[in-house]
Amino acid sequence: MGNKNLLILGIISVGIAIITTTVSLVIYHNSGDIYLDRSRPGYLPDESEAQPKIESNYSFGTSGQINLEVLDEYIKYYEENVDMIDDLEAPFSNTPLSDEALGIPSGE
Amino acid sequence: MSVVFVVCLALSALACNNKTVSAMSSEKSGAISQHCATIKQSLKSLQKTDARSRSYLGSIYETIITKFIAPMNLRLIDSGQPNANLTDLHSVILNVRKEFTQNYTSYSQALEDLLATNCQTDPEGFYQKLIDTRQKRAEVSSLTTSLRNLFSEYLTGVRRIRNEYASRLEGSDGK
Repeated sequence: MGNKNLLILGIISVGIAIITTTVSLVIYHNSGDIYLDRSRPGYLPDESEAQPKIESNYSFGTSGQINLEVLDEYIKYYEENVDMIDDLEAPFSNTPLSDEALGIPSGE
Repeated sequence: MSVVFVVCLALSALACNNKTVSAMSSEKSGAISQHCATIKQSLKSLQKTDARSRSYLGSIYETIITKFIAPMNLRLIDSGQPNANLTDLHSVILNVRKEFTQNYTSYSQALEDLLATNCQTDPEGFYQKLIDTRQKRAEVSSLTTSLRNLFSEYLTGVRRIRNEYASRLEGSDGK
């Protein structure tokens, strides 16, 4: 009787584990998190890969005085960050998906 | 009589047109089948490059929104000078960023679906999916441009506040 209950407990545990893992993987895939996960095989960041170079420890507090000096400093660091967007040339342009780039004869 | 003639003419033109399209398509489908492995390799490489770009842009967007835009709006409110224009821009930026995230997911799924399609046996289906993927990629690209412009617009708003301060200071110095 005890062995039978132990077997049932084991089967139920495995069943629950399979269900929860499946649900997690479905959420992981459907939420799009899978496409942001750089720890997947083949997606690990390269050493040469460009990373946002945030060198300063600048932080702008939610409270405090607002004056010319504060605003000038804010603008300087804000610009630095926005310029980093421009370091990436034409992100998601359609060129790599064009017929020409894929070696497909263009035209209808 | 003339109606029958026009209908016949239209039908023959349509048939001729279809023939041309299918002839062109066969050339295209032949090339797709022939270069299937190379095309797939290019797409896989693109998938990796996109993951890098998404990660790179995502971290910059997050930094600008959480470390610059949100604190500035809160600080303006805190100092009793709320700026409706900057607050509205913040909301728009958040919405566009959300749209970017959703569209990128949708594009990635389309690209994955494209990679799963056998281009050797089903070149037409593959090409149809390629067109769909291109469209989704164009939407992502357009959203990155929109975000870039919105960040610049926000900066213009902050510069305006800065210039108002500067002119106020000059005014008080003049007195």
